[in-house]
Order: sequence, then structure tokens, then C-alpha cells
Amino acid sequence: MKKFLVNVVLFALVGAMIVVLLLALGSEEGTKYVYKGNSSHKPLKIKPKEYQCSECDMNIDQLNYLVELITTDGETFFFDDIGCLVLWLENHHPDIDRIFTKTIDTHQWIEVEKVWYTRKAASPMGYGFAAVEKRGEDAISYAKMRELMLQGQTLHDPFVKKQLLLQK
Amino acid sequence: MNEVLLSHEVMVYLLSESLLYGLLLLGFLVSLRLLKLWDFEAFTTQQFRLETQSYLLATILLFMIVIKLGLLPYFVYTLDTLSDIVPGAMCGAGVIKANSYGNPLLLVKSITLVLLGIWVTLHQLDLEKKNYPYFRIKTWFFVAIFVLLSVEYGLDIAYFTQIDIHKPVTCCSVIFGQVGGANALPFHLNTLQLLLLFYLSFVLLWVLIVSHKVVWSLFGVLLFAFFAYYSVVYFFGTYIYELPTHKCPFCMLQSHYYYVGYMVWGLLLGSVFVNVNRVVMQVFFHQSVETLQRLSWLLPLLFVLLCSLYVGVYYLKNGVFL
Repeated sequence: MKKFLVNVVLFALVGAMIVVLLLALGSEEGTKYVYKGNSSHKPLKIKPKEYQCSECDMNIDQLNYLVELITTDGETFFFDDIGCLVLWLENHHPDIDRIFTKTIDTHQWIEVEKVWYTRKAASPMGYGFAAVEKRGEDAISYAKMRELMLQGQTLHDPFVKKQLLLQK
Repeated sequence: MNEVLLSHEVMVYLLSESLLYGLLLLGFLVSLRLLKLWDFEAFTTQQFRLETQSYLLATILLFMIVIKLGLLPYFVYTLDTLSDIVPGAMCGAGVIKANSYGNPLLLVKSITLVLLGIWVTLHQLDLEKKNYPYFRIKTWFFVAIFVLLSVEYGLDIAYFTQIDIHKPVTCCSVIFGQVGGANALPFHLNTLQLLLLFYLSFVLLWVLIVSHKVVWSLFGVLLFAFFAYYSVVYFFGTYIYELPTHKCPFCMLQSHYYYVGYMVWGLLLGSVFVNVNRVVMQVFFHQSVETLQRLSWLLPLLFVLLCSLYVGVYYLKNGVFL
């Protein structure tokens, strides 16, 4: 009888733990990185802090710098900074359909390779890169931005920062 | 020369570890000889000499284990003191991440201590019997632990010689804090769910121990340790610091918090250590050690009481929860 009672208690305890875990897994709390089922393959409108950056894990609350990567099967990944996208793509190789970024000058969704990049923006992760539609004097291409990002020549580097900020 | 190596604490630590490793190396060589020549049935001079040597080996190992037990908290204390010279670090959390050797080193140290604990219990059982039935197995076990201790020593040297004091590290609020509001808890848990799982896993462990479900209690203690770690860092720790945003496993080791972290983590590590030890003894050697049996439920209980006490005292003093 005692053994039976112990087994019932154990069963109840394990059951309770599984229920709590399932409730947690099914909740909206916690990480949300990917939107599945973006069949139109167009940029999604999201609310601040609704999704987290796939690279740096931060909640995305500055939507002006938002980058969205849409895969061929409609999964959409979100990045709070174009620098995060570059870093993420170094370690991940999804089947990319299109990648959109918001431009900070015209606030339009444009594909990342069709815009220019400034190096001195107050981007969320502080790398300094941000997409602009209108080409300024110091604007660089996506390929150049990617190269500089991977070399670490961003505003995080004190030398680069000083050089850029001294430029008129 | 690396300034880290000139720190008094690091010098004392590395010197102690080097001396211990020297002793261990000696013990290792003696073990190999013992394993090769040991024959308890023989009545030869050589066998009597080997038995004396085995006693010496056990004494060396027991001495080493006592010192090692003290060196783990001293290692953590050393990390804490290094936070004064490593830029960006506010406590040991930043220092341990100063290079890639830190976290593996801490893990290897904890595993080694658990294994050494099993060795001590096995040694005790061996001495209780007249014919040393576990002599060979405990000596082979020591040889295996020696390999791990060599890795640990190598990691010790690699870690302390490669801390770059010109490279800023991240402080604990970045490592453990809720950066950008992101949930750092596993399985999308919220704090209430984490606490529920913590207390449920504690009761589960207790029931498993009391009902003598030995193998299952190993899973029980690992589950308990998992939820306990997150609960201390993300909930109970905030009551120790009396600050809802301060989430760090290392700061509680400092004098501002009366070094309570040593007791908190000591009790948790002790709970795992004692329960693993008890399970190994019962499953592999069919031996029930009374002290281990008693400590296996007492240490988790003390751990839970200590953590809960901080919350209770805070509530009684302030009338609110954090």
C-alpha cells in the first residue's frame, strides 16, 4: 500500500512538472525569432519588442533599422541591425528568397543589395551601418558594408570611430 | 609578464595547484607500480612493502582532496579579486569569460571534485574490509581521475596565462541580465513557472530518496540542480542583492553579501556530489553509506531553506516582494 502511495505521489509530481513545462513552451513569453508562413514573401509589419534579433537575441524595438530575411519557404527572420544580419549569415545558410531592410532616410522597405549604407548611424548595436535610399558622400554598397563589418571596421573600433567622426 | 600572474591570489593558487600536481604525479607513478605488482594473497616482502605504499598513496590522495576542496572556493575568490584588474568585469562572471578556458575549467573542477568524492567513499569501504576488495578498482579509478586532473592543471595554466587585461570583458548585468527585455530562462519559462518547477523538483528528489529509488534519484538531483541554478540566478539572487535587476551567480560571493554565495553554491554542489556518490555506491558496489544517505536529503533541504529564507526575510522587512 505504501509503495502504491509513493508511486502515486511520484506520478503526480512528474505530471505536474510536465504540465508546467508544456504551459511554458506553449506560452507567448520568451523568445520569438521566426515568423512562419509568410507566403507573400513581403516584409512584415511588426510591433516593437514583438520579435527578437536572431543574432544578438535583443528585443527589436527600434523598427527604423529593422532587417527581415525571408526564406523560400516563407520563414521570416528578424534582425535589429544590418550588422547582425551579416554576422548571422556567416554561420547560417538558409535558402534565401529576399532580404529587406528599412531605410532610415525614406522609411521604405528595400532589398539590402539595392540600397546604400551610411557608416555613422546610431544603429541599435552600435556598428554604425544603416541603409539609406539616397546616396550620400560617404555611402557604401552592401558588399563593402559586409566586408567592413566582417573586418570589424565599425564604430566599435575606437580608431575607425575617430576617423569617421573627424570626417566632415 | 602578464599582470594577472603577478596577482598574489593567482600566485598562491597556481603554486598550490603546481605542488598538488607534483604530489599527484608521484601518486600516479606509485599507482601504476601497485597495479602491476599487487597480489594480496602473497606473503612476500614486496607485497608488504606495496601495502605500506598503498597506505602512503591513500594518505597523499586524502590530503590532496582536502586541499582541492578548499581550492575550489579559493579559485572563485581569485576570479573575484581579478575583477579589479580586468577591464569591464565587476565580479568573477566577467573574469571567467575573459577567455575560452574559463568555463570549461570551472566545469572540469566541479566534475573532478565529484569523482574524488566517489574515490574517498570507495576508499573508506575498502578500508572497512580486511582484504581490500576494492583496491584495484579504486586505484584504476584514481588513474582515470589523474587524467582529468592533468587536463584541469593544463586548463589552469592556459586560463591564467591568457587573460588579456587590455581587452574589456562584459560585466554580469550583460551576461545574465535581460538584455533588451529578452527572456533568459529556458523553455520560455516565466519566473513563477520556474519557481514551481524548482520546488516540485525538490519534493520529487526528496520522495525519490525517501522511497529508496536509487537510480531515479540521480535524475532527480540533476533535474533539481538544473532548476536550482536558474532559480538562484534569476530569482533568489535578486533577494540576496535586494535589487530586482541584479542577476548574477558570482556577485553573491562578495563581502557585501556576507559571502553567502559560497554557502548557496556549496550546498547545491554538495547536494549533487552526495547524491551522485550515494547512487554510485549503491548501484555499482551495493553498499549503503549511512552518512551519505543522511546528507543526500539534508543538503538539498538546507539549500532550499536558505534560498527561501532570503525571500521570506525580505518580505517581512519590506512588506512586498521584489
